[in-house]
Amino acid sequence: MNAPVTSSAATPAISHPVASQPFRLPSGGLVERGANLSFTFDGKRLSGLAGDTLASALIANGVHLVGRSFKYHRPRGILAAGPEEPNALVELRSGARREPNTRATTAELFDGLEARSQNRFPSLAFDLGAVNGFFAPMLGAGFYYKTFMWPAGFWEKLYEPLIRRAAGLGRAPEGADPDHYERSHLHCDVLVVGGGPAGLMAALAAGRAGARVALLEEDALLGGRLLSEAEEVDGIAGADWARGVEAELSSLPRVRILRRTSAFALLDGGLVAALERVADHLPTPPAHLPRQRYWKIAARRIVLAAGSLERPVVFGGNDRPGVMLAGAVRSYINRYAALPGRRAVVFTAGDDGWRTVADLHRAGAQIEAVVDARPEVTSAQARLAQQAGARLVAGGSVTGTRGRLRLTAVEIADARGRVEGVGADLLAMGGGWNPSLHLACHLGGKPRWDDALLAFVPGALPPGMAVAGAAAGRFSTAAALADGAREGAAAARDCGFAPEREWGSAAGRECGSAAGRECGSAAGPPLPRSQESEDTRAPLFHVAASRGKAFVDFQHDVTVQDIALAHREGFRSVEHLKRYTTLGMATDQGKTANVTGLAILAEVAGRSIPGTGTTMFRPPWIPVAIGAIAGHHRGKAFRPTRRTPTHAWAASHGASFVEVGPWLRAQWYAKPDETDWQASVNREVAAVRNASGICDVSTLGKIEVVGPGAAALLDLAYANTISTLAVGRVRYGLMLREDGFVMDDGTVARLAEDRFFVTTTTANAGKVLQHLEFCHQVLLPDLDISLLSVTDAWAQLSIAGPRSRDIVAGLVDAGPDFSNAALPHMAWCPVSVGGVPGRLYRLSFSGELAFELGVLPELGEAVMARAVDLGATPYGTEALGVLRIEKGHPAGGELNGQTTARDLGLGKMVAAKKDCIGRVMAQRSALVDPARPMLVGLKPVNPADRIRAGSHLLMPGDAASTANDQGHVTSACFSATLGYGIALGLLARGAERMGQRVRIFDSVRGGDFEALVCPPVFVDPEGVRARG
Amino acid sequence: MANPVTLRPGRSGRADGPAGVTVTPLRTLVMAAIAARRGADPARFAVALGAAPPERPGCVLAGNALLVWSGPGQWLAMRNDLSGGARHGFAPLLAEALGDAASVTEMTGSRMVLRLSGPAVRDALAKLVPIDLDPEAFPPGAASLVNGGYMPLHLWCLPGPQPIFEFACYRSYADSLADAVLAAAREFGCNVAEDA
Repeated sequence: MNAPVTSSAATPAISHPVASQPFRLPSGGLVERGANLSFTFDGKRLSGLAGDTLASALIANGVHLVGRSFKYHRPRGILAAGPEEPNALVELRSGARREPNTRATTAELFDGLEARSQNRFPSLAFDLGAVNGFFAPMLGAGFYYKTFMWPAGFWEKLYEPLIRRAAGLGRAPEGADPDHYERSHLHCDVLVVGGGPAGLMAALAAGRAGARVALLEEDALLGGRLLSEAEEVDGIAGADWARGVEAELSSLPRVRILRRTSAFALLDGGLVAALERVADHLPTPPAHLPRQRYWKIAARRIVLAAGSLERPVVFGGNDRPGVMLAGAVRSYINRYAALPGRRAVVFTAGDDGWRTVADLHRAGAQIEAVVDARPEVTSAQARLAQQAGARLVAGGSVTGTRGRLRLTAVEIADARGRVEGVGADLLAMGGGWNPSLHLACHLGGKPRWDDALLAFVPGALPPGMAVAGAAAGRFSTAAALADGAREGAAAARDCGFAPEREWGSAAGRECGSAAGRECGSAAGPPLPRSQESEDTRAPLFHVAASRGKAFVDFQHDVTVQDIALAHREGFRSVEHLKRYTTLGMATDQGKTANVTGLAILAEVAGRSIPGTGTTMFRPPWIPVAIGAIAGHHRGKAFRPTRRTPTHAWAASHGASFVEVGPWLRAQWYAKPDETDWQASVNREVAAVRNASGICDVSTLGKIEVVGPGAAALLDLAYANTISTLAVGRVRYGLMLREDGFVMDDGTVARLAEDRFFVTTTTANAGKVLQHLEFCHQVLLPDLDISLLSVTDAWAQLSIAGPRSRDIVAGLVDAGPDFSNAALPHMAWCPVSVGGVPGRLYRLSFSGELAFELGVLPELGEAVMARAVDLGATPYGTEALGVLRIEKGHPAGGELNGQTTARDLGLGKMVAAKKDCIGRVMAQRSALVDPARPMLVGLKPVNPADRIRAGSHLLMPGDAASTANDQGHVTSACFSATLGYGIALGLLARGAERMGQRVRIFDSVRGGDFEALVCPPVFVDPEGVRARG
Repeated sequence: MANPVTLRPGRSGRADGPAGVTVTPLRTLVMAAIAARRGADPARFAVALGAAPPERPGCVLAGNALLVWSGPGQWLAMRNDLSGGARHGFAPLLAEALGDAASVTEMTGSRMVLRLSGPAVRDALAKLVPIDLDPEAFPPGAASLVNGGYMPLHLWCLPGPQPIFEFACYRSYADSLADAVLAAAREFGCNVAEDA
C-alpha cells in the first residue's frame, strides 16, 4: 500500500482499512490489475486501479452514497459514467488546489487522490441540511420570489445574506491557484470531435486521404461507447479495434490526436474552443506542464461525432443512491470491471436496456426483475430474462424506490397497475439517448425533434460542419462506423483531398439518411464488421403514477411537481419554465434534464414535444475554469509591459515606477535619505528650475511622416499650419477630432522638405498613428506618404534647466553650435553622441531652457549616467507634472476628450486660412458658448489648503448642487517653486472671472475652501526662460 | 541596451532531453525601414538591394541583408554582421542606393528580435500567435504581422531548409516577449543561447 497523502491522519477509518474493492469483477475491463492506487474519500482510505475514475473506484469499493443534493440535501449516488453526471459532484485535492464540484465520473484516479463529499454537515450519512426535505412542500419553484417579498427592506439586510449562505455548492479554494494554464492554437483541414466509432472512422478516412486532421477525445482513451459495451468490431473486442485505429492514426504524420480534450464551444467564424486536461489526472502537474490548455482550433471542416447521452426516467425516488443509468451500468461492468450492485432491477422501454440485462447477468449480478414499459418484448428478450432468473414485467413501470442512504427496494407496477416491492440494491434505468449535438447549436442552429428516434437531432448545421454517428441520431455501431467513414471522406474531399480508397457503405439506408451527402461508390473495402443492433423503443419520460419526489434535474433538485407548478402559474414557454424552476441551469447545463423536462411540460400542457419548444445549448459543453481561458496571462503577464530605454538604470537609481498605459515610467528618484515622495519631487523640481534635470521622455509617441505629400497631410491633421515650418525648426501642434474637440497635442519637427518627426502624448501614440493613416488612406489617398512609428527607435531624453546647455555640451560630440543664436527655442540640429548619429531638439515642457536629445535606444542609459555625472538631476513624471502645471500646459486632465481648443485657451491656434479636421464642427454654437468651462489657474486663498484634482468649482455662497456646478479641477500639485499648492481647472466663463474667488468643493474626499482664479501660467508667464 | 531581465543564457522549462526550442537574441542587429515612393520602378529595388523585396508578406535574403515585408510597399531591412561605425552607415547607404525610389528610416534598436529554432519551435509558436504555422501555410520565406501575448509582433521564417523563425516586437516590449516565449517553450525545454 502506498503512503497516504492525506494530512487527516487522525481519521479513525485510516487505521481500519476496508476490504479491498469487494465489488471489483475478477476479470475483464480496461483497468490495470495489480496496479493498486490508494485514495481517500471523506478521509477514508480506499484503493482502486489504474484506469479507474473516482466513480468507478468508489463503486468497486461498494461506496454509493457520494453527495448531498443542492436544495433538499437528499442523499445522492452516481447516476452516470461520463461528463453528464449531475449527482456525484465532489471536492478534489486540498489547499490552494482544492477543486469543488468535480464530477467523480470524469476524474481519473491517481495515487493519493483526496476526495470529499459536499453540501453536508456534520457528515454525509447524517446531514442536518436534509431538514429542507421536510419543508419541501414549501420550497417549490419560485419559493424565494414569493416568500421574501415582504417587508421589502428586509431583502438586503436579512433575506439575501441568508439565502446566499444557504445557496451555492462547493467551497472555492482560498489560496491563489498554484498551477499554470496556457492557450494554444491549432489549424487543420478536418476537425473530428469525438473518438468513438464514428469519430475514429472519420479521422481515419480523412487522414488516409492526406488531410490534416485533429481528433479530439474527451476521455483518456479513444473508443467512445466501444469501451463500455461488450461488443466486437471486425471480430475483435471494440476497445482493441479502437486501439488498432489509434495506432494507424498515430502513424499518419498529418493526424493529431488530443485526448482528455473537450470541444466545449463553437465560436464566431466557426472557431472551436477546446479544453485539454493536460495534468488533471496527475497529483500535481510537472513543473514544465500546464494543468490545462485552452485550444482555439481553426478547421476547414468539422465532423461532429460527439456520441449521445442517456436520459433518466422520471419516477418517485429516482435519485436514490443505487439508481443508475442503464448505459452507465454497462460502462462500470465492461470498462471498469466494477459491479454497481448485486441485486438489480432493470427499467427500460427499449432494446438498449436489455443489453444491460445481459451484461449484468454475465457479470454475476442477480437480476430481480426487468421492467419494460412496452407491453411486448421479443422472444429473445424473454429468453434472456428467463436465463437470468429475472422476473419480466412487460408493460410495467417503476413507481418508487425505498432505502435511506442507498436503494433497498424498488416498487414495480405491473401492466394492470398492481404495485409490488422488490428488494434490490441497483436500479438500472434509461429513457433513451440524446444525441450530443451541442456544438451544432452554439451558433444558433435549432435541433429538430425526431418522432421515430424520440430525440432531438441536429437541424440546420453551421457552415462546414457535418454530424456523424450517435450525435446524428444514428445509434448503432454499424451506422456510426459508416457515418464516420462517409463524413470523414467527404470532409477531406471538401478540402481538396481525394480519398484513395473509400469504404463501401454498409447499407443503402445509411446513405439515404445522411444530410445531403452523395453516397460513395461501394467499390472500396468493406466497412469494419459490427453489430447492427437497433434500439427500438417506446416513449418513456415520466411515470405519472409514481409516488414521492420525482427528479427531472438532479443537480438543481427540480421535480415533476415544480414543472407542473410553473405551468399552473403561467410559465408556458420552455425558456420561462427553465428560469422559473432553474431546470437545466446547473453546471451540467441540463445534459440529463432538458429533454425530459420538455417532455413533461408537453405532457402537462397537453401539447406535442416539438409544439412545446426546443432545447438549445449554449457554450460551454462542460464547466471551464476561468484560469484556462486566461492562460499564461495572469499576474504580471496579465498584459504586456513596455519599458523605457533607461528602465534598468532608473531601477538602480532609486526610481519608483508608475504605469502609464502599457508603459512603466520613473515617477521619482528617491535619494537614500528621502522617505517622503513629495520631498523627492520638490528636490527634482527645484533642480530643473535652478540648475538642470534629465528625464526620459521616450514614451511619447514618435512618428516619421515621409514623402512629397507629408506637409499637406499634416496641414489637414493639425489645427495649425505645418507646411510653413522651415526645415530645422519645430512647432507645437494641436490635433482635433472630426467632432471639433481636441484629440492630442505634440511637436512637429521638420527634418527635411519631405520628412517630419511628429510626437504625440504617451497615451495617444497608437491612436494618432491610426488617425494619420486614416487621413492618408481615406481622406487624402492621392498623396505619396509613408507613416512609420519610430517610438521605439529613439531614447529621447529631456535635459531642462538654466544649466542644461552645459550638460548637453558635455553629452554630445564637439562640433555643432547650439548657442541661442544657432539653435533657438523650437529648432533642432543633428548631433552625434560617441560617434553615433542623434538629434538635438530645443524644446521646453518645463518652461526652462531645455533640450531633447534623441539617441539610439542602446545609448540611453549611458547618456543618462553621463548627464548625472555632469550634474543633472534625474527627474520623473511627478516632477514633470509639477513643472507643466506651473506652466499651464494642458495634459491628460485637460486633454480629456471633452475640451475644445478654445476651452484650453488655444483657440487662436486653429488656423483660419486652411481647412483642418474638426474645424467646422468646432464652430458649433455649443462649442463656442461663452459659458463653457475654460482653462484657468487656481490658487488657494489660504496657502495651507491643498486643492485636489476632481474637486468641483462653485461660486462662493452657492449650495453644492449639480445645478450650481461651475466646473472642476483638472490637475493639481504642490508647486515647489511657489511654495504652495496650485491647480488647473475648467471653469465656466473662466476668462471673465480672473481674480475672483471660487469655492473648491470635494464631496468624495472632503474639502471645502476658497481659491482665487488666475491665469493658468504660474511661473515665468512671459516665457523668457525657455528662450534664454 | 538594457538586457531583458527574463532572458538570460541557459536552460529553462523541461529539464530532461534535448531542448525543444532554442532562443537566440539578436541584439546587435542593424535595421532600417524602407517605404517605396509612389510610382517607383520595382526594378530599381532589385538593383539597389540585391534582391527584389517581396510584394506580399514574406522575407528574402539580399546579400548579407534580410528584407522583411512590413506593409504594402514597406520593408524592414536588417543585417547582423556589422560592427562599429559601419552599423550606423547601413541606413544612409540604403538611402543612397535607393535614391528617390524610397524613403529610408533608421530603425536600429527599435525592435527586440529573437531567433527561435528547434524541433518544437512550431508547437511553441502556436501558443503565441493564432496563425497557421504549418510548413505548407508558413514556409521558409513567409512573414506575418500578428498579435501575440497582446503585443503587436512581426514573425518570419528565414529562407532556407531549416525552420528558423524570427520574432520581432517593439523594443519596449522585450521583457514581455521574452516572458511569453519562455512560457510557450517551457513544455519542450528551452535553451537561451548567447547573443548572435
